[in-house]
Amino acid sequence: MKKIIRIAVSVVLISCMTGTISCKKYLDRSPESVVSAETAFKDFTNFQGYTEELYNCIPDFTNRYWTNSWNWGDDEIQSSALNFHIVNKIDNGDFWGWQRESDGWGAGWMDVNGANTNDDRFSKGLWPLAWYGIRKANLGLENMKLMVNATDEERNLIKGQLLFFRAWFHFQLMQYFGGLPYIDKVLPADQDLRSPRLKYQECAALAAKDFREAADLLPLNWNNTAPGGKTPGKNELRIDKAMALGYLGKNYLWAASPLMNMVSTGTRTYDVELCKKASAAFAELLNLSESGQIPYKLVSFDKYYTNFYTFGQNWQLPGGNNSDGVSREAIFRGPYWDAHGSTYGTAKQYTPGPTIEEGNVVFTPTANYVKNYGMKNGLPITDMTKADAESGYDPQYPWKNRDPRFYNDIVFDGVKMVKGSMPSDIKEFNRYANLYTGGSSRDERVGSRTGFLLFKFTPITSNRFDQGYAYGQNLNIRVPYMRLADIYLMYAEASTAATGSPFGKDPSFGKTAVDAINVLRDRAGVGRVAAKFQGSADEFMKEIRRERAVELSFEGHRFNDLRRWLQFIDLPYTLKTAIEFDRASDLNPAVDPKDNRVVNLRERTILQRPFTEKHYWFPLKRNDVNMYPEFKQNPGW
Amino acid sequence: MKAYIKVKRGNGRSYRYSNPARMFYMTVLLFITFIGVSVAQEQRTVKGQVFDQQKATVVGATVRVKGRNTATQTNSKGEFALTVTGSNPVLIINYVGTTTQEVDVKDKDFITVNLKDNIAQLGEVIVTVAYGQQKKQSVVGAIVQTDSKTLERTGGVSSLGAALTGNLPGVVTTASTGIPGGEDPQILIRARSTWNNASPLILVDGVERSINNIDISSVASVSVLKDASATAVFGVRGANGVILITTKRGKEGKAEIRASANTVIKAPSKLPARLDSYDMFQLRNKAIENELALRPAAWNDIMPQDIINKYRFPANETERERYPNVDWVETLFKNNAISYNANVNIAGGTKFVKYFTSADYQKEGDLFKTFDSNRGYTAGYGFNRLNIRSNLDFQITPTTVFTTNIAGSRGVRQRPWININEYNTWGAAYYTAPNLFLPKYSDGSWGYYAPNAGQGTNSAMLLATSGSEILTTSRITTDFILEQSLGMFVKGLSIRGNLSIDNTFIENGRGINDINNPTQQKYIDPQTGIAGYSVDKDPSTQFGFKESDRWAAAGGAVDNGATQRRMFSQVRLNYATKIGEQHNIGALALWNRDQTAAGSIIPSYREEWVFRTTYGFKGKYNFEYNGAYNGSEKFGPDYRFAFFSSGGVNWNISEEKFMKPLKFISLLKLRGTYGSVGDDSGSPRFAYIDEWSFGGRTRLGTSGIPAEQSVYNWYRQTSVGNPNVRWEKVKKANIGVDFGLFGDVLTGSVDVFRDKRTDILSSGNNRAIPSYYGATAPTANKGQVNASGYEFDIRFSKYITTNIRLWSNVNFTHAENKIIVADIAQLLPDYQKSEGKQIFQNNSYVSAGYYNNWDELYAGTAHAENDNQKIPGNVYIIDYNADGVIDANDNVPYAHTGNPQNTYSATLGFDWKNFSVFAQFYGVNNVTRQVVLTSFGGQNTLAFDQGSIWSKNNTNPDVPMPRWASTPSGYQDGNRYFYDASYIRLKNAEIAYTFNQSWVKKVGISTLRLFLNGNNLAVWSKMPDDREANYQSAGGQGWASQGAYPTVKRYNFGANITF
Repeated sequence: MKKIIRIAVSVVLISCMTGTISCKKYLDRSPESVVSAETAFKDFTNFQGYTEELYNCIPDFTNRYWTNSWNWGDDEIQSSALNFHIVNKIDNGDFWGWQRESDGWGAGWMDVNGANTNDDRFSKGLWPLAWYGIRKANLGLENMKLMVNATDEERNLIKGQLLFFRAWFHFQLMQYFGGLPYIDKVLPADQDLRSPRLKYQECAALAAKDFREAADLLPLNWNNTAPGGKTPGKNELRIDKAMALGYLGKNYLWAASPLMNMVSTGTRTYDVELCKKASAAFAELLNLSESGQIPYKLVSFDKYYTNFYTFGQNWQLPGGNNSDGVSREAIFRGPYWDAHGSTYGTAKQYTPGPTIEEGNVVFTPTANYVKNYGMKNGLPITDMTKADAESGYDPQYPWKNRDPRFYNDIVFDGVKMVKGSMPSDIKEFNRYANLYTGGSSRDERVGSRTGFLLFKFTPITSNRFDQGYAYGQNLNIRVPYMRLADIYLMYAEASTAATGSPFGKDPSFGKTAVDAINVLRDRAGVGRVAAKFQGSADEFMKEIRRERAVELSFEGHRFNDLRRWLQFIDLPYTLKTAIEFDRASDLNPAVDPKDNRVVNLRERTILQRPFTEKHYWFPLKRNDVNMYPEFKQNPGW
Repeated sequence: MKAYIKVKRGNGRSYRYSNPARMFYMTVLLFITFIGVSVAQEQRTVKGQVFDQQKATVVGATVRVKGRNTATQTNSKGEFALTVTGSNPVLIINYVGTTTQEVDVKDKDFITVNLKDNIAQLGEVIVTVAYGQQKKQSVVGAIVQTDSKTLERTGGVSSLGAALTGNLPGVVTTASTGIPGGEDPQILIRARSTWNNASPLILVDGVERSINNIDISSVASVSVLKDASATAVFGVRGANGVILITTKRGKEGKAEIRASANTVIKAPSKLPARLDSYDMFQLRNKAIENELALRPAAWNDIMPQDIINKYRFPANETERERYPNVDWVETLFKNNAISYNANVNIAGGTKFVKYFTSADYQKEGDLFKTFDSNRGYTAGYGFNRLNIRSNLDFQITPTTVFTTNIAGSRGVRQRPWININEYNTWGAAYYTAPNLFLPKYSDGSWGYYAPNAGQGTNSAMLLATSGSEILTTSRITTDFILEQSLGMFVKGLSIRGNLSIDNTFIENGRGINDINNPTQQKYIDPQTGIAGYSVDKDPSTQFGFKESDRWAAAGGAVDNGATQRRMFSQVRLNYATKIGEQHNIGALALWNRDQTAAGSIIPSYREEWVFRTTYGFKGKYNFEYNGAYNGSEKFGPDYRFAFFSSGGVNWNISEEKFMKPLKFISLLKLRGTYGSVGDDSGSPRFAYIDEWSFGGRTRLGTSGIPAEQSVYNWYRQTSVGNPNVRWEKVKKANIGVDFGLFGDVLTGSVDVFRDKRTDILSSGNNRAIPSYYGATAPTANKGQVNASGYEFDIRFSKYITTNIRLWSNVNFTHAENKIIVADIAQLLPDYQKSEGKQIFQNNSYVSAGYYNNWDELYAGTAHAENDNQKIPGNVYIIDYNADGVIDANDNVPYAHTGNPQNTYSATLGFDWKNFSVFAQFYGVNNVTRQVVLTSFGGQNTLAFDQGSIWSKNNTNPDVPMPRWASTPSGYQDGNRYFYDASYIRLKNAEIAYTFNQSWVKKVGISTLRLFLNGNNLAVWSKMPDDREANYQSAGGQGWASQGAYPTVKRYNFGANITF
């Protein structure tokens, strides 16, 4: 008996130790650890929280890596010491370089591993984030009905944002890859996916539908909505009607452009109907802007730089902020995560080494592109090496009487680069840009390859002596995706192509295409469009394109513009050139560098880009195009 | 509330126990009470010591008095003491694997017994199997075991994983770094049969635990279970094989003390060979000349010979500083570093308690030289580890044993305070060019490369001025086991309950935080000879820079995300009986639950139900059938539990009568097993449901650093579920033969195996789901892999004379796999599909000779990109699909994978009296590793010595002419960076002498063994360095060009003393 008790006791002891008194759902997930879909969508607070992750899907192309390459047209060339940036691959015709599989250093903003919505600028890539965002938008749109505790206004705000993002991500991808499937539902996990690629214009039509609906749902100004009223100071980046209209028009104009029209219909000219729609959308936006109903207004030229960077303003997000404290020029920007991040690399990527700056990645404007900056009187320069009586250009004084934006954006020979003191071991002449042939700022590997430097996005103090990027300077660099000046330019282009006339306009808006260009000329203090360009749509279109090249220079538009205009693979747009010249006399710092005389000015081709028809589009990922025949690779890749 | 339990002992006294915690204190008390109590003695006592043929003491040999019931076992020093009566007492000494000896002790009080090996009895060897032990004779599965003696002679390695290399056929290890405290290799058992985690399950004393930080000296045996019958009882966890580590335990007898101490001299093994400044510039000139047609501008970079000369032959100190020629390997690393290990353990026991306690201290030295930072601290790497273990067995009643195993480990790693990019500390040895700067100039400033600081890492400076961080890993593992015989009800039945609680804490951030405190750096421009400095003025004061101590002492914090907790509980019923003399029947039923958590995650749960039945007939035939019913939280309710089972049979042919005439065969055993095992490790948690998360906010503010956050908290779907996700299953078949020939001079075994794994989990990233799906596709069971191979293990041992023995062990493993089904893009050309290839098959463009002139170049196939950048001296790339262009479609399966197909080990040994010598060679082949070391990559003035270089006069070189400024297509490298990663190592070698003569005994020592051994003493390989793979166990994932802390060779001198 004792034995039996002993054993029973032992069994009990063992049972206690091992906890056999079990819960049968031992392996079930404990319910308190589950966040459900129902919670996410039940009211405005939660649904807006669900939606706002989409804002973190907007890559910051200005600050994706230490140094950043986003100009892949004929506008910019990189120093040769390191060639990992995508622009080098573009120059070689190797467009696979946008894919992370081919991006050894992982420096590009088009593609990274995974859709990362965290606050880390380094982890953002357009390709994965766009598809993630589209899925997220679709999941939200399909669950609108779960939003039971909400006003109509709140419902409209949510739905408008979701529709905008769905279309915006599609648009961003289409412009590089051509027509894609337009994903407007949450795709099932357990079925074979066989969506065919649409033609560009089919895809764009679906995006336009979403942009239009979003524009109709979204407010003119979030500050004036009930939910927005509660979050002052945090509404600027929220998607509003102007953003939807801006991208509605841009999407139409892109679809109408020669390249997109060619791949959709075979015609190598603008599609007139789509241009009319684009013009109408821009007109709607410009009317709202000029009547003050939306907070978007051109910034005055002395504050032009604030479109791209701010300093000494508590890390203010750049965006062309007007002094009224309300209105701004930037229409579409993503959030920023670490303002100081831009100062590690982006602030240093335009300054020549080795004396002025460390680091060997330097992006310099090409001479062929700088040529687009005409004269102050508004006339273009036809040949940099030849004097032109009409415009007043003189190759002996190539820096004289130029478009004011030239002086704002470009550093040329003789400009004072270092303001403050320099240590004794650095030769004093390095204080000035020595961009003449053989000058100390000219260096294939780590300096200027072209005879110019770019200072549109960085203050001139961004060098290791003036420390313009030191923490205390609060320098925040960020180029917007879309600003109001772009709307004027696109309006002019769309209206001209829609009507075949420089004086074309949308019926709802007072300004003609010429007027729209002159708005920007007036702001910069440049002469208005010359009469000789007002004679025909073709002549005027050249001037629109030149104006676009100057006003939006280096902001990431040129690559897409050349492509959609079907100019990308043709001479002279495949050339990147430098200027070679000698100083007529030694630099005299007392003289305004504009007035310096140069001799032997000539233009030298650095490289010609080996482009063929296939280079109009980026290649899609091999993995995607090898799954089923209807998702085809772009031709030639 | 408290459940007091009375447990009565045989003598009528009773003890009261409450909960396990209280029991623990009691345990400690009892331990203190009983330690040192020796066995009662009476009348005449005969003492003695038992040695085996290798002159090592024999632990656990049975010593009995002939014709009587008195018996004892030898203790951990091989000693025994036995009471004898009668006039002509004879002792019989008996131990598995040796011949039984009888010794007349009529007039002797002390005897020394030398047992001879008798491998015929190998069948009697006890093998640790899952949840128990079996005689080797009755084992049906493929199990190999190694003992402490083998592990202890591995030449001073401190990682148990590294000590396994070559000693266990079927175990394939891969090492990548020599960093102190981080040398644990990756372990694979037999062939990889999944692209998911293929690491084996590792159990320490029956509980899943890390192999890291275990001290080798407290390990009694390591048993590796390879086939289905051995592993099926682990169900879901056994698919990749199982490693059972058993720690030492006490034996009844007087307390014995064993001590050992050794000193290890570590030296860097092989690092990539680089050219010095002189040779590099000459090569660069040639490279520029070679590509002049493409990049005329590069002519500016030509270096005149008289300047090049100055790099090698500087006229004075000024020139030496202006024209640096730095051998970074020599700069950074010492020729050797010293490590120490000391160990003491005490084992013994009484009838009531048996104990084994040990303390082990390990100190790993650092190969880095010490660089004075002038900041008042010394930085570098280091690793100290203290392991303490106490294993106690209490015989509470004659039928009840209570066991506690308590082990603690405290590993302290020192490293520079660099949270990321740790590779920069050794980076200079791999990728800083020799001509950029001196590590430190004569004026005390560090060197840097002013034109591009990022291109020239000064590892010496980084190491010296990056502070010093201490990472402490504290691990406590505890087992409480109560085993009760239920023989009073059913003979042979017992029940055993087990509760194990483990905790791991990692503390980091302790030490000297010296980040973001610049130091003065200097660069001398070789063109001008002018020195420049990195810091012109003090960033805070704006005055001139002054070096000072700005670092802060940091107190460290427990890394809450890295703490790990485990609670494991198990109940086991055991039944073993004999019916008649012929029928052996055994059964085991077992239930366990495992709860683990790391950091703040919701604990993971597991539940298993296991049984095993064995039947043996006359020792000739053994049958076994076992299985496990497993649950995993990863799968939905419909798929959550699964049943895995296996069976096996063996036939001891040599026991058959008809074999008896064949005298030269002492053992011949056939065995075969078949069964299924599962795996869920490829699946994320809760893979069956959509996962949502809450939290995170977008920064929608427009000022401040960073911008202000919005008020709305995110909701996000973090993963998409697949309700049909279920177990990976492996069907494993194994056939083996064990044999002993010529009186066991030759013994061994041969195994042939075949694994067929189905329903392999494919994670979303590895599935053929279009990008536009927009989320990581759910994990699905989409793959199938077949793996097969064979292994053999042959042992030879022969006495040439009584005192001289020659012995040799040879083992060989061949393991290969083939993907049958994978979820991949189906329009890929067949040769690019992973199906039909090995898992992780390397792909490459394939080179085929050189274009030696322009004619040949133009006749070659065009490259899809950068075709105009080709020049003579480039390699032909094979246009595999013959479409007239080299593009991504010509990237084809090339060579092998990173897991060797063949591993082999050969050990040769020689014993002469107390003197012994052995050497072990270990090698692998059919393995490939990519090592990308590009000369002049990124216009870095760094060139590797990779053999002869192409020129017009040498058209059959080792490597092409490197490029300086031109950009050829990525195809042109072909397969040149894929190395045959085969190697042969002199893995271990030892010379030892054992003193057991009477003079040592006089000083209180029972035996003293002095040894000199070594690890990784020599390596023969085509690889440019001595790493077996590019992963680094410390510092995260790395690739070859980033290098690693150098792997080491070790010379070890030490002594084992038994008191």
